[in-house]
Order: sequence, then structure tokens, then C-alpha cells
Amino acid sequence: MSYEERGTWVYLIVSAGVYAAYVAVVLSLAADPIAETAYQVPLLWALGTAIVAAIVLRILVEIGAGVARGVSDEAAKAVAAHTGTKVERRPSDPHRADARDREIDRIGNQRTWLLVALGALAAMLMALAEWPFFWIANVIYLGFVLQAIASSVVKLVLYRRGF
Amino acid sequence: MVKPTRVTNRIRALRFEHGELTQAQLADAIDVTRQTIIAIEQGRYSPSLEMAFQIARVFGVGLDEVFQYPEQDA
Repeated sequence: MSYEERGTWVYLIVSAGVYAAYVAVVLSLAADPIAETAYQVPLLWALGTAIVAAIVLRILVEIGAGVARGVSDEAAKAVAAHTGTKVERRPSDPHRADARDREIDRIGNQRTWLLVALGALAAMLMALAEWPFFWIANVIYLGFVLQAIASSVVKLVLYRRGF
Repeated sequence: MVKPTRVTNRIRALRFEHGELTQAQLADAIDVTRQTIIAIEQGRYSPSLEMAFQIARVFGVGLDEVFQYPEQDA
């Protein structure tokens, strides 16, 4: 799995996980009517947590990938020692995007940008209709999350199935 | 599973004909990741024309000795 593909997995997990936690927190605070719920602080926490979690998880995943590579190299060396064959240490893959990664990223975003646009359009119509801020803020956040999840899934399918 | 591209290639054979060049060495030579070389070899990714020329140049052969495209409809 390439560096960029691992990054896509992290983005997917963090986007979906943080949003699920946000919904759970808001529902636990739900007022009657729900539009009166104090969603502002959880929403700001969700945005901040998503950024920090993405960075931390990315670092942990790369450390894990490095450890896994070391273990597999050691196993290859042990097998080579028994069979008397020569084994060369594999160079690590570059930590940057190549032409295929960039193309996958472009296709993933191109096929899913409409979700963000729909979220913004819905928010605009809600504002025109003078809906409560609760719904406007949440529909925008939902649009971001749906696009993040959909684009990650499209990219992972392209990585696995090809194009 | 239907392969997403009809372009086939001889990269694997050419690597072995050129001193058992590894996927990682070929990847370094054309500045891509090893996963991209694997995807090309398995027919899961058609490289750009520029990348195809770069691969052919590594082996010192023409483009059509590396990549083939079937004439008849599958």
C-alpha cells in the first residue's frame, strides 16, 4: 500500500469517525425543539479534533508501516540465511505523491465535488427561508463529511481496482 | 474481474531480461512509487504517454516493445 493510499484510509476513518462522535454528542445534548440544541461547541471541537486526529493517526500509521516493513525484511533475511540466497534490503517508498496518486486524487474529487456544492446550495436555501442556524451549520458540515467519505471511497476503489 | 485497461505490457519480462531489475529500481528510475509499477504490470493502470516513454527508455527499447494494444475488439 502506497503512502498516499494509507493517507486516504486515514482521511476516511477520521472524517467518518469524528462525524459519528459529533452526532452522538449533539444527540445526547438534544433540546426540544432540536434546533435549540447547543451544537456550536461540539461542532468546533469536531473540526479541531478532525485536524489533530488526522495528523496523529497519519504519524502512527507511518510508524506502524515502518515497523511492519522491518519485520518482513527480517523474516526475508532469516529465510535467505537458511536457503543460502542473497536478499537485498528493500528501499522505502517515497513519502510523496506520484503521477498515479495525483490522477486518483483528481478523479476522486471530480466525481464527488457535487456533494459539497449541494450542501452549500441547501444551506443557501435554508438561509433564504430563515431556517435556524442549527440546520444551516449542520447541513454544511454534513456536505463536507459526505464529500470526504465519498471521495475517499472512490480513491480507494481506484487504488485497488485500477482505472 | 475485467481489467480496467486493454493495454498490455512486457515490463515484468523486460525487468528480468535487464539484470533482474527490481520493481523498486524501476520505480526509482522513473520517479514513481513501487505500487505504481505493480499497478502498471498488472494492467490496473495505464501510464501517461510520458511515463510510458520513460519506462521504454530505461530498457533501451521502443514503446511498442513494452506496451501492446490488441487490434481486435475484445
